[in-house]
Amino acid sequence: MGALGGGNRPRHAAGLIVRLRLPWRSRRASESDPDIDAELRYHLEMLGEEREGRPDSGTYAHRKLGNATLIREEIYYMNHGFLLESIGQDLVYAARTMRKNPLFTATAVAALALGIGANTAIFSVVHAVLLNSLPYREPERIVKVWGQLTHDSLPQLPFSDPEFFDLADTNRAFDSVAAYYSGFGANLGGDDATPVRITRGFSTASLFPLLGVKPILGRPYSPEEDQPGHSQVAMLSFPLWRSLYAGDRNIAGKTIRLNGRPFTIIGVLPEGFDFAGDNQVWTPLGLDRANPSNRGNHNWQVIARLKPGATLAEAQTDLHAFADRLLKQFPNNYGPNLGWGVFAVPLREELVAKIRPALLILMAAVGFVLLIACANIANLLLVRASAREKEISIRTALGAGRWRTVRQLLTESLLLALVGSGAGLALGAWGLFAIRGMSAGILPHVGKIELDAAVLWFTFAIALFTGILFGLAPAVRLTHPSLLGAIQESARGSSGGRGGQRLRNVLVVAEIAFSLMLVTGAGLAIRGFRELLRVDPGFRTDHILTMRMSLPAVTYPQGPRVARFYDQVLNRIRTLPGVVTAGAISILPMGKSSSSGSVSVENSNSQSLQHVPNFAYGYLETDQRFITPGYLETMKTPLVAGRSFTSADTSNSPGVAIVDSKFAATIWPGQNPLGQRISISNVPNSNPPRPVWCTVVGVVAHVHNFALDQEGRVQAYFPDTQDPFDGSRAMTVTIRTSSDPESLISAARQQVLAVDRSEPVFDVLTMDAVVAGSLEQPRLSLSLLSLFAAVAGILAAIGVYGVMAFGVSQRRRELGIRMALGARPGDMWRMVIGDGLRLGLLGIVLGLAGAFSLTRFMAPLLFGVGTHDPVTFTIVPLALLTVALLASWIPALRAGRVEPIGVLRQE
Amino acid sequence: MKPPLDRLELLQGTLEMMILRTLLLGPSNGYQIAKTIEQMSDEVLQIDHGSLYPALHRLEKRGWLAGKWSVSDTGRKARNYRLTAAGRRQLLQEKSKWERLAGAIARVMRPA
Repeated sequence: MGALGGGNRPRHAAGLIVRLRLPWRSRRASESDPDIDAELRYHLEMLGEEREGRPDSGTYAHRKLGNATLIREEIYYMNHGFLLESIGQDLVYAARTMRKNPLFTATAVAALALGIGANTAIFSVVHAVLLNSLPYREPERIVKVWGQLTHDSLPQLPFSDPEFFDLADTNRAFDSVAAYYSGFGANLGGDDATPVRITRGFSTASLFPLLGVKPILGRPYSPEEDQPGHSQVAMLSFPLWRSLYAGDRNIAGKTIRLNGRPFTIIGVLPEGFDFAGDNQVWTPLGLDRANPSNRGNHNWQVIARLKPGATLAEAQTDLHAFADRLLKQFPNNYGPNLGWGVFAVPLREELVAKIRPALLILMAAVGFVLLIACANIANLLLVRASAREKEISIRTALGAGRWRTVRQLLTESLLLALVGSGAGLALGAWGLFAIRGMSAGILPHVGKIELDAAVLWFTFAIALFTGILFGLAPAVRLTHPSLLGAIQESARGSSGGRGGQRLRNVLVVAEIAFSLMLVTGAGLAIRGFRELLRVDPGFRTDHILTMRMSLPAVTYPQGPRVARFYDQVLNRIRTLPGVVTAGAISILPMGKSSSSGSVSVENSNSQSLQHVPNFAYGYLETDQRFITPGYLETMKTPLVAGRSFTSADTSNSPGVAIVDSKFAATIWPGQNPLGQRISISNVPNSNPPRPVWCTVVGVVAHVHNFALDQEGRVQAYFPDTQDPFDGSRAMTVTIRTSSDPESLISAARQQVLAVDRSEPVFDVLTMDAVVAGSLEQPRLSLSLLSLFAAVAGILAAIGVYGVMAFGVSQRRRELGIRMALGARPGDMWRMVIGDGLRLGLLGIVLGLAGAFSLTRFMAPLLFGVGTHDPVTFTIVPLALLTVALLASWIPALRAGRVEPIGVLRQE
Repeated sequence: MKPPLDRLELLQGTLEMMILRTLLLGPSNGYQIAKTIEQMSDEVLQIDHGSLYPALHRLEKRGWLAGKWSVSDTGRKARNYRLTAAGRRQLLQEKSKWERLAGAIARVMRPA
């Protein structure tokens, strides 16, 4: 009967299930099809005519034909494909199953939401920062160009004026090169309004065409305007244009005053333009070809665009040749043994190199969290599945195929995954919001991190992946052929056979192993962060208020007026109640800027000194700072020897200097540094150059100028009154207070305005906040990693608890018999705890092996702690073992309370 | 719908074979097909009129029948089914299978 015989079966099997499942019936299926209706009507009429005239002719016809609706439905399924309709049934049924088990559904959805939310948030960041292309024309062809003097510990050196011109004129690999400098401040406006500080970038005219960025209004500056003396034009950032000029479309040609000088506004940059940071105004660099700065003044950042067809490798070769030419031409500057070189880095690489390891680690961490969540849900499903074995068996007996049942179970897990990912998406959006808030200073393009289409697809893919991942195990397990005996088995109350238990154990072991790896990673990060906090930065951070100001050259020409301004400000501040000491420094440690300068040494044969011909003295690169009296006292930087600067150190008194202990140890090992002479400038027009000597009068502790995790260069301090270069025009005032430093902000600001009411005060921060700023990135990675580890730990605990609790409830009969045979509650208790511990230990051993091989990828994130830190590798396994123990505790107690009589009676 | 004792229930799948067989005589509509089968079996076989139409549509879907609306002898619009070439081949196959099966069953049953 083959083909024909098979034709009738679906009607019975599927039809039965349809009717069982859908009390309200599929509306589409019972909608009338006019053709079929007409056909059936004809049939009814013909049947009716057989008994024409007799009273029962109508009932006879209907009885003979049967239920017309059922016929219509059956034909409908046949014609419109059974598959789609039945997927609908699966969905409806799955939804009902979810509703019927609210606790299970809530647990699973919460676990999934945590896993998927974390993945969505972190992937959004990874996508925006690492994967999205930069918003420039052919961004992959833009490179950053650096010089380097490796033997001088300067792996990345900006360019000087002459170096930039040499590169622009002689390179063969680039279409164009551009120099820029960003993060400068400018005092905005002037006479009428309160002074405002804005951020300002300088660039050559080539920058905007090179990036392929066009102003939304006006034009970029021309090469002619990028000449010294012609550079009084400015481009506004979109936000500044909106806030300051209310988006005035006729802005071009208006004047803006920067540092007291008028600039003609020529254009407005597009919204979201954030090349080289958040500059509110861009002005031409105006490099002077005829009169360039010293070749050793490395100030300018340089980017370049590769010529069409040129590769990065070709560019590197060309830059290598370029560096060689410079070395031959200017041996005094670059050689012979300074490790001079020039190289290019793809722009994206330049932007993300620092953050990439942290992001990849976090991506791996959230991946683990998701796997753990999946294992957890698979476990819950398996537990629930054993309660459904009977249902599944009945379906199988009724003729449901294995694939059909697997599909039903997969539909349920996929629906669960979709609901979970919906919740996860909401959680992820919220998490992303939080991350954005925390990471403004850390991540490039932080404003562009959003839940875009790519992220939504990612989340959707994850939902599918997880749904299949945690749904497949129960589905396969449940439809396993050996399960056919489940009906009788479950009637005896001992379902969830050995196979199911084994699968659940495997999942729990995996959960413990994964969470061990994750918690170990977080533990290492915590240990590293603690080491970082333990670093002595060379100053005290508490009770210090800092505020920066910068005097415009128009009103404060180089000379004694600058130092006098700060002297007046500090004197006024010192009179405020609550102020202990006050002082100022040209560049605050761990602040946004840094700078270095060379210091010549009169009397030393240290190997660390460089030498150039025609100059008798060796020199070295230092963190060179100008300070006022009171600065070192305010920061409590310990004075190791000699004295600090006083108000007696003036422009007319003998030159003095203070060096740090690292300087003293490097340059004058075993000698008394006090009384030695160093220099940062030469007597004007002296030939051969004659240094202006400063006598070392004090030695102070070494200060971490960049970050806690960077030791930094040797340091030299000079009084701001003796500043030969105008290097103390911009200073940060530091104030040590006896109470909360923030309470002094407005009073201190008033004192500045009392000296010069047009002088803006900016970057007002406590020193604690400044240092915290330098810790932002490690803190962010640490808190996220810890959060994920905590989630993983909790999920693992739930997993262990679930398996142990279920195991106990399944074994009630066995436990009851044991009790009846004389086992004591303590034995039951030990048995269950023992099982829990066995699983825990196995997971921990596997997890340790995984952690041991994986933590080496964390090396870039760790400070002062090895990737195989024994403390972490001891505490974390113990902690997880405790978790496993606690999670088995309640089920164990329950096992001890089994009453043999009750259990045996249930049978 | 309890069938009278002197009437026999159809074996599964045989309905479709018999539909194809009746259409060998020429195109016909659902009601006539049911009546024909009942008459050809001397009213022994009782057609479940309810399963007739699903069977017709299933056969049509497989390409063994072609349905077409036309006006019947009584002047009513009825859907007439015609056997296709594929349906004819299928009928031959089913018929030979059926004969082998019926013969085999008969051989088994005869000694009683």
